[in-house]
Amino acid sequence: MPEPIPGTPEQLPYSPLHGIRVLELSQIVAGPSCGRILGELGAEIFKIEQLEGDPYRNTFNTIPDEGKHFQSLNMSKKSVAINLQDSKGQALLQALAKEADVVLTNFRFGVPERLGFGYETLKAINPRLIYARVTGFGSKTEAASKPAGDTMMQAYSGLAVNGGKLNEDGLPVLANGTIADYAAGMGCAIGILAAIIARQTTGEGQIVDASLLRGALVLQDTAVMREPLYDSTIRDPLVASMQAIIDRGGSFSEVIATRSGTRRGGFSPITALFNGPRQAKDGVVTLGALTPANREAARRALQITEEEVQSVADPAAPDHAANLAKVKQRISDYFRTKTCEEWVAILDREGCPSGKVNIPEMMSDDPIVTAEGHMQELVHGVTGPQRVVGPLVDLSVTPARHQHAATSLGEYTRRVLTSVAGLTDAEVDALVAEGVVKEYVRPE
Amino acid sequence: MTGMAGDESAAHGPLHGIRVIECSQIVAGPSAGRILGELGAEVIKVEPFEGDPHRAMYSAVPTEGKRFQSLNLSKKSIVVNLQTPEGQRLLQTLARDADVLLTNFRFGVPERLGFGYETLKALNPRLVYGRVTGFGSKTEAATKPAGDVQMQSFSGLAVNGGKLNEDGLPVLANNTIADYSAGMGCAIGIISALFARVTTGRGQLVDASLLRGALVLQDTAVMREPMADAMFRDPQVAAMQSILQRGGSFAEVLEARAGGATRRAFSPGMMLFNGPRQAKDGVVTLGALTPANRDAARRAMEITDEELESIADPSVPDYEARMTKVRDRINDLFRSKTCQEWTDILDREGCPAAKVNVPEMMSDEPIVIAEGHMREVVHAVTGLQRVVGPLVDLSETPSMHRTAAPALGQHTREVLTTLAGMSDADVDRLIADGIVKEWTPPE
Repeated sequence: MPEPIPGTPEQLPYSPLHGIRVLELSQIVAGPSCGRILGELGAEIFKIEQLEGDPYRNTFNTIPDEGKHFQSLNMSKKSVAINLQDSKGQALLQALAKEADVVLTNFRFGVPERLGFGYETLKAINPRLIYARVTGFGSKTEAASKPAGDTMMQAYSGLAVNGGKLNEDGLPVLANGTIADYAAGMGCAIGILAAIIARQTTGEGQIVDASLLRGALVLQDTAVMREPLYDSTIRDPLVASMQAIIDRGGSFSEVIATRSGTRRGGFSPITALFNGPRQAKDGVVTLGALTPANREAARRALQITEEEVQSVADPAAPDHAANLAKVKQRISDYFRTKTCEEWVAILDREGCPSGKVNIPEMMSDDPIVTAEGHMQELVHGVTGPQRVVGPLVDLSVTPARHQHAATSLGEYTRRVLTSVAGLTDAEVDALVAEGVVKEYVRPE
Repeated sequence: MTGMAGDESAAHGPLHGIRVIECSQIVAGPSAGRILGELGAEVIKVEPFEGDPHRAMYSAVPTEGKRFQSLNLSKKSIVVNLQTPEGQRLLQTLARDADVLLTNFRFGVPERLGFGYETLKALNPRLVYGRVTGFGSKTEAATKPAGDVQMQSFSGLAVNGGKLNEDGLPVLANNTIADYSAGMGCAIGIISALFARVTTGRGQLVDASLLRGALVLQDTAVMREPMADAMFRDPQVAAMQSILQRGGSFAEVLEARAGGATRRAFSPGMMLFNGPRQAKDGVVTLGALTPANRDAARRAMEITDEELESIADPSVPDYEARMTKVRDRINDLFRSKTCQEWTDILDREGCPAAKVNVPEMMSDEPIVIAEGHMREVVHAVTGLQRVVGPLVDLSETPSMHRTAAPALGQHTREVLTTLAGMSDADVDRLIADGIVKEWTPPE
């Protein structure tokens, strides 16, 4: 196994991926999120960036090249800036690939080949190399070269409709931030880990293929799946209704209302009483009563009487809507009399799952988040101390942790090229002068 | 490539030879088990007599609910009553020869049912023990009831999604993303631990949680980086907090969250090149990430330099009117062509864009089919079905769904006779004593 490069923070012994070296040629979210996972598991990650750097360095940034999104996604990686449009730069990359275990890329399908690091080229140099890629639609057909990103993939894959959120024009918008990217990135990490294990037996590398579309479909597996028995009673009539609305030019809010109106799986109107958000005195609490026991607990906590439950039991009764409104109003008035903390304590005690609706930007100060060790402290070379979300998973014997904060553009160019690619300092100087590589110069 | 049941000629998956005992239910644990199964591990799902509660949901046929079928591909079902000492001993016997135990039962429950980590570690030091908890496993918060619903609220995901119901209150994304994130994290940890075991020779505890998974999905928003935060996050949080403290609505909170800081970071042009637009026969969503993408979108939508200049400066008094004018002009143009025409134009120009699709119809989408994103399997009770393919594909040691989800107790006899050293008569006795249950196929 390769030794850590001199001058880097000492790698923890026995992190699960200790000794594994990854070349990451990826940008924005999907590829980098995968690289971050490998890094938090202890792999050595060289992030090979073009001379301008990953574009995400300059999104939401206060100072050039150190944007917060980039910092969050690129912990534990060593930045090496190489001009891959230059044949010398491509040769350098190939030399590094010879000494690597994994190449990870999310560049558009076809681009790696043009830049000299396609699988066939690298496999010839290093048959043990695991070549992992994240594409948009997939890699097998001409759809592979369609421009793709998370926003349009959430739309294309059904995630936007699944999320059911409409903007002020009544059109569906993103379900949640870059979840297609994250699902693809996690999938890619899973594939890389599995390929590392397989290599123990086969002695060879292979291609690992993840895509935004596959990841997005997995997140909606049940809705996408076709199972004829269930579908004939629930899915097919639903799809026919939605198709009819689309065919006659109806709005998306009608489509979504139809879709969520059909309670797939038999939620009764009573269930609505025990689920969903309620306004408390100082915020919102969401109830999630999954089982009959949960619903009983919610009924007790909200002091819902038997009469009230009976009055809304039959959706076909003529005064059902009026009764439901009356009960909901009564519950809602009562809910406003206590704080979120009081309600969560009552519901916990009675035994109904519930949670206060929190704001992501404030989570880092939440007592549970802190006590459970969900945040990790790091120091960034330019911006200083920071707190980041911890590794995706914890291991008890071979621990996971972020090795260090994101590095500046080209911060490791010299170190990596001299210790791994066998160049001298003078040779690196020449490449810098020629614009083939770039190195970071720390300001005085 | 189809993953038909019993396809012995298919090359081995990467986790071939690994045996997993899964004691988990609903979504988070089972989703991790499914991933291990599609990578070739043998996954034995130990269910209570009533079965995983998910079997009863979304079901046309009792105990074969669609969601259960989707989440439990490639697994073998055995039914063991873990409330009995004999049932617990059976599970311990199986764990002794297993590589992985996977559970998402509530923190403390495995110990009560005789399969806590310390017990199993003593029997099998090489065992990798993967668990998914709610809030975490280190403090008393570990025993708080937690499911995806609470976690989406608690973790900020509901606010991040920014969806409000008709009462103006934040609701969840429809799919259980905290569960899936935790499940994938658990799978990642288990596979890493299996690799680490090659060096260390022993197993370990792998801890994933819904909360950690949910936070990872919002990593940038949760992260604290003082320099960027001074400019964006801190004013935004101060604004949101003052609204909450005076009892303002969540709609106002979301407006403050999306408004000020975020809008300052986006140039007005960016809003034109991202988001949904109504076309003649549906909606197309643009997602311009880079300057080149935005240029492509500009060309595709025939946006002139004058139009861009007219909205360049948000501080002019009639800014809203100008923006409306440009947007209306673009919207009219957009309505004049079909979704297919627009995606062709935008593809050609080089801006990511796609038609807004409905999930239930994705299985018939030509690209989805051509790219092999659906696989066929045959379920023992409900028959032929099409499912979403494995999370990731591998070229030499392929991933695949080996089988459909099992019927309840479909493999009790097979597993106990081949792996727990029992005879058929032993199994009969256990059934008679109510310790185990087996499935009987319909006539």
